[in-house]
Amino acid sequence: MTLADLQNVISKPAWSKDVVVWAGNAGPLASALEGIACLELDLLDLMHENGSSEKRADDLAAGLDEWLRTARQQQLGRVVLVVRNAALLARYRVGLRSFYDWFGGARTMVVLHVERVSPIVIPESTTESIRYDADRIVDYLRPLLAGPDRVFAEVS
Amino acid sequence: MSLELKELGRIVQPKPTEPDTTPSLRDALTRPLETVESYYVTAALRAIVREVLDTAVHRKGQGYWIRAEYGAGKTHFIATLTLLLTNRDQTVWRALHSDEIRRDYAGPLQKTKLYPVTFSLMGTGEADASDSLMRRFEKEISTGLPKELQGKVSVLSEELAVEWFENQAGSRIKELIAGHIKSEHRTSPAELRAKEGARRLGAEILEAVRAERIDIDLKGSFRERFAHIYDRITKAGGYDGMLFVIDEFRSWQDRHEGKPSFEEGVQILETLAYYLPVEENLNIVTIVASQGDCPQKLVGSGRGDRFIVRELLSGKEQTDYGEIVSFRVRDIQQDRDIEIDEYFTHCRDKFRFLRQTPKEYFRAIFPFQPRCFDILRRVTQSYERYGLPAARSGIHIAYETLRNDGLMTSRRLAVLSDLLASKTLTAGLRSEQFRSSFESYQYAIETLDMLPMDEEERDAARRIIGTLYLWSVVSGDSGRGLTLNELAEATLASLEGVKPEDAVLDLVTRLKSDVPQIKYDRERGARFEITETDGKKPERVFGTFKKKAKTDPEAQNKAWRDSLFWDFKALEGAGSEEGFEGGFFDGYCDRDARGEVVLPRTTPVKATPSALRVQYGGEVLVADRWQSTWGEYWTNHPEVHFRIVYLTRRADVNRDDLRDARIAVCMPAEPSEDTRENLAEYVACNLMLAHYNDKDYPGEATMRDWAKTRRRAAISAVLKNQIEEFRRGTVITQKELGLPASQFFMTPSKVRGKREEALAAQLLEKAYDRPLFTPKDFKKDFTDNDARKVFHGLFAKAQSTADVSARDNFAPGLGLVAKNNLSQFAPQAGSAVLYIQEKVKPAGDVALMDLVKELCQPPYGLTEEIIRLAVLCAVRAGTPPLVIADLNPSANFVLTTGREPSGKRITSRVVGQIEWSAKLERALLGARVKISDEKPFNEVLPYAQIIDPDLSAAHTPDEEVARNNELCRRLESLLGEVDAAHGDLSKLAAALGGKVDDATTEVLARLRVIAASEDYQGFHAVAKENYATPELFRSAYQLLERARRFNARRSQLQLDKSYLTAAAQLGDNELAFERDGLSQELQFDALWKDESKLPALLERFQLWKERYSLAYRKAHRTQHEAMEKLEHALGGLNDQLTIIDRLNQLGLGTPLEPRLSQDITAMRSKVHPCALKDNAQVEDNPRCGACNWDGQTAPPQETVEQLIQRANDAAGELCKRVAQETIRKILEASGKPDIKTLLDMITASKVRDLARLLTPEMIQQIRALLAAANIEHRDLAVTNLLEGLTSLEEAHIDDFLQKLRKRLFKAFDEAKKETRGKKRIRFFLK
Repeated sequence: MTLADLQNVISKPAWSKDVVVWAGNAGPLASALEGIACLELDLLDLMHENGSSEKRADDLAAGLDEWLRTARQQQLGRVVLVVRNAALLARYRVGLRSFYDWFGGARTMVVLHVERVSPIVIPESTTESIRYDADRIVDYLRPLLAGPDRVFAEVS
Repeated sequence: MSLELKELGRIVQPKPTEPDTTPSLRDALTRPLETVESYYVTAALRAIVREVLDTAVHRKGQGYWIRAEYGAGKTHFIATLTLLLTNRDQTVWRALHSDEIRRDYAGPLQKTKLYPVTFSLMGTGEADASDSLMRRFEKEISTGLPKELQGKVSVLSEELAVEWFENQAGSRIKELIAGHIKSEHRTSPAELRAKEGARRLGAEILEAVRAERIDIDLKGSFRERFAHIYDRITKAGGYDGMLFVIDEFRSWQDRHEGKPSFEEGVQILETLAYYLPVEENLNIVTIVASQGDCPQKLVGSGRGDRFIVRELLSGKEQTDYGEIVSFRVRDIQQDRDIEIDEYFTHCRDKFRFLRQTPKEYFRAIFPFQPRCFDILRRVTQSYERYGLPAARSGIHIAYETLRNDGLMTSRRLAVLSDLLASKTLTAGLRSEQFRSSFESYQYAIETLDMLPMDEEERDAARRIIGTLYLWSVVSGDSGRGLTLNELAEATLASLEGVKPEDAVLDLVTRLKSDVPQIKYDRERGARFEITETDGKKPERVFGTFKKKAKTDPEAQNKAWRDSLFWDFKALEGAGSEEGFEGGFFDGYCDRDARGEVVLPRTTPVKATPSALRVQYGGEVLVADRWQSTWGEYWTNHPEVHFRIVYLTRRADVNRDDLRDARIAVCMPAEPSEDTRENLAEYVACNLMLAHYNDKDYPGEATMRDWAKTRRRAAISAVLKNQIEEFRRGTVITQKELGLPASQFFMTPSKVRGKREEALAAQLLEKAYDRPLFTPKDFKKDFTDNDARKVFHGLFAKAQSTADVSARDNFAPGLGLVAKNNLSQFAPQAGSAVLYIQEKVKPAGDVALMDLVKELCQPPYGLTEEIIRLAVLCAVRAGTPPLVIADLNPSANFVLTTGREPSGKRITSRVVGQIEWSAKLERALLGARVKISDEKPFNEVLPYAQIIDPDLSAAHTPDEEVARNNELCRRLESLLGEVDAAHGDLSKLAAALGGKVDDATTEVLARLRVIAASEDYQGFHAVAKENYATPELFRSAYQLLERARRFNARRSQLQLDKSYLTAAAQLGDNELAFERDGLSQELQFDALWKDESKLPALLERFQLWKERYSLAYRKAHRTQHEAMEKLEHALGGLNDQLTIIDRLNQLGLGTPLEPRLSQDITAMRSKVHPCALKDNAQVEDNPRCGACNWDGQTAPPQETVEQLIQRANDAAGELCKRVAQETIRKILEASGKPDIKTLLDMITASKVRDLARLLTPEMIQQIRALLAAANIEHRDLAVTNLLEGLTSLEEAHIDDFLQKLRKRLFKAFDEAKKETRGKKRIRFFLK
């Protein structure tokens, strides 16, 4: 799905538990959201430095849930929540449940922004042992969405 | 519709806020009241709710599979169900819109207590990536445990592992696991738990048992695990069952379909819905909501067998959807049943559609025509196929329909075509699949709008088109339309006095002929058929807009006015070949917030007439109509030399209004036919573009492109028309100069941006016919900046090349130099300089502004800059002597010396110190040009030489400048000297007990004012004002010198004074007398009055100081010799102190002199002699620096003697206690020789020996002996014994003794009691 498809979803008068992934740069996303009230959440702001990976995952999940629950109570009106650094959801395997619980509505929509990963060349000497998976983040998120058509990517 | 029907808005109102149609389970459960209150229980839903609630009431576990399409309300349903099953709050039950359910279940369910586990599987993602359903269940149960159950119920594997480890594992296994944890984490299990929690410990135990291959009981099967959890929760929490509610199961199904994990999920649900409730009889109710079908394995055959499948909005119940939607979007006002019934009766009688519709249903969906929901349901059921909104969107569509303007004020039901007011619906209809049909519908409406109809007919026709269009979208059979009756019912179309179907026939027949999309024949009915847009040529469409534009002169006039101000962007590239970059007045307007041109607007411009060679400022004024005030003089704006007034349209201008010859008024002719045609073309293009906008006609880009191309051509034509109209127009001037418009208004390539310049040149060359300069002698055009350069070129000490060049180019033309000597300033005849000199000479005082106003006018033609230059030159010339006075102080103008010009005046002398800057120009605002009244320097010399005897007379202007500079430097230093002298003198006066008298203070203040003068003129004026003659000024200056002399001795005088004050009292009357005398004479007031006393006084002080020093040192030595003796005497009391200390330890009565030792130590420190006893130094300070002896304090002889006495007395008294008969006998009985020696010494009072003998060991021995004798020594106060016995006569001696005896016995009895009779008591009477 492309930016134009995403614009179609965004421009719908009423949303329907729309939690979507935007895999691309911030510029086109910003243009797609022009004129729409937006709320931003950078997941890095919810991360704590200390603790094991499991602890950080638990903290992120709890912090995210609390943030969304609080935002939900604020009666924001028609608004799109743009989640920066959504790759952290995959990194810590936190899932998307909190978004559906608190922010997937008729007047609220979530765009998970996953920065486009630039392709890199793996040295030939290491291709046997290293595999570069540029789609790993999106592959994790895709099955957690309402449908595979909820992933929108920038066409280069 | 009949007038007696009430307006809809008086019966119903849309909900105040748009209904929430997408609740999440979690969110809905946090708002129980809102969730239950907004749920509408239809008859079909009621049956399902009853079924589930029955299960709970009868405590029979059961599984329910709630299936429904996307957006059909599953979440709202299961959330409401969960709240009814678990929430005992009566307000929640009262909010339920079903009396029947409330009546039958509110009470019974109060007696049940189900433990709820509720969660949605949408978006779940496990941290360990396993996405196990069992793990999800565990987590949900664990995290949802109420506080009272936390720690009591183990749910997670980790928790079970900890429970097993602590309660079931044997000691050897515990050691093994502890060893494993120790090796991994260097800590014990207990420490790990305390530090990182039970779950972490559990994880480590699981890791350890895996590594050590130990079998543990983790309730491995689902059945065991859930049974275990059920058992713990129900017992610990007092629950009688569990309720599992899982939403969005389809989400999990989709992720796991075809994988082993899917089978695991099925097993779990089977465990919950079958094995546990049926085989183990556990009260577990499981509700799963899913878009998907229930897996075949889980479908039960009926109650008591796996899952009972129930479907929401299945289609069997036709009326549910309308009822739910209506309930969610509107509120019926109180007591409006009659009004609704009137609608019902009206519609039933007039239209057929209600004959099969129950009144209850009509009420439930009021104010919607029932067919609305048939269509809505079809639309939303097809959402996936068509990309149309889902079922829940029906609520939004209905809500938006009710909110549409007009419906609530109407007196008819909402019909199908009203739904097209919904943005949600139209957004769906604009989607790719329906775009062409929707656009076709829009064309049909546009066509309708152009048909001649009255509003009632048009409204009905609009409904017919909308209804037929929607029918065409949802109808499976595109060939079948609606009958006239169906159409009449669906649209509620009626015309007064005509049957509805006849009215519809009439309208359909008319539409059929005018609106190509509408078709009708008796066989197939009325239809909406999509017409292709290809046939719609832009040219044909444009004709409509052009026709409208041609008949709208107002729009053309507005376009004309706007076109004059087009900027480059507005041209869209049009006219570029002809060199157009904007409209005729581009750059000459302001725009308001809406982008509209705001007139009149004045813009400053410049022009350099070739005959004058000076650049002049002027203004271009653009306006819609003429104002006579624009023809008046503007003397207050000398920078404006011409005014060109442009009018946007033709106007009547009276030439007599033009008072100034430098004004030209330009206006266009009336627009020609050609111009009108091109303007109409432009307007029509805009109309077409506005109509076919991107939002309403996203598919009509071609139409827009065509219109834009056409508009560019129109723009190009209008640009040419602008030139033509102004060429045909008029240029009006005061002197009838006969300026032909065609000469000035030409195409851009010919004018080259000099249109206004050419006009201005014509005006100014005629107006400035006697300029005070010679243009032909200018080597270049003179601009404002050149005045500054010429000035610097003539007078600055450091000139740049540009300055010199400007001087050479312009100074001869300005008459500032002779043509044969360009570097020598020499005003020439006919120049502005001489004109100004001649102007000021008779008047004596002329405002600079008046000169500007006069000379910037015709016929002189000077600019402000040239006048400033000329005035400065006139001052510099010196004949007559002129000054520029009253400089504006706020300009902060300073000379190149850094100082402000003295007296805010620019004199001939300082012209060379001026740098022409913006500050100078500001300083000249309000300034005046006057004949100078300055004095020559030599007149000031008698005063000046008093403060600087080296100053000499000045014989030339340059010498005058030099002397002035020397004087200024001296004044600057004098200012500092006066301030310092005054400050220091005040400090000295305070130190010597006086203050500076008023006369001195005044003199110093006057000197300060004089010293603050900025040049010799100011100095002279101020000095003379304060001191009428130089002699008086000299005596004032001498006072300053006296102050400086005093201040030079300030430190010494302060030291001497303080020496006298702090000198010791040595008992030498002569010394004291002389000191008092000196101190009295060393007073500021007296010395300041008679400075001559000072040397003698200081000499006397030195003599006194020598004698005092000797006397103090002698007395100091005597004092400390005496102290030394006392210290020695106190040192001799050590033996006594030893005896007192040791014997007090024996406990023979109250200790004596317990603080004596401290007192003696303290006194010894006081009588310690001064370290400088023989060498006291009193040169700088009058007392010994070590002991600060004051000469009066005597040694504490008496106190020391008292201490000696106290020591001897106490030692003697304590020896007596030991020597008393009883004690003595006890000690002697010991037979120890050293004890006997001791007693002898005590008897003989051999203090020194006794002290040596009374070692701590000896004291211990004696204490032991006394303890063995079992004697308790106590004090008995004699005063207590004799209390109350205040007098005695001989006859009462026996009574007295009797009482005394009793008291003594009583004292002994009490002492015995306290010692429990174990000791002999011995009192020391005190």
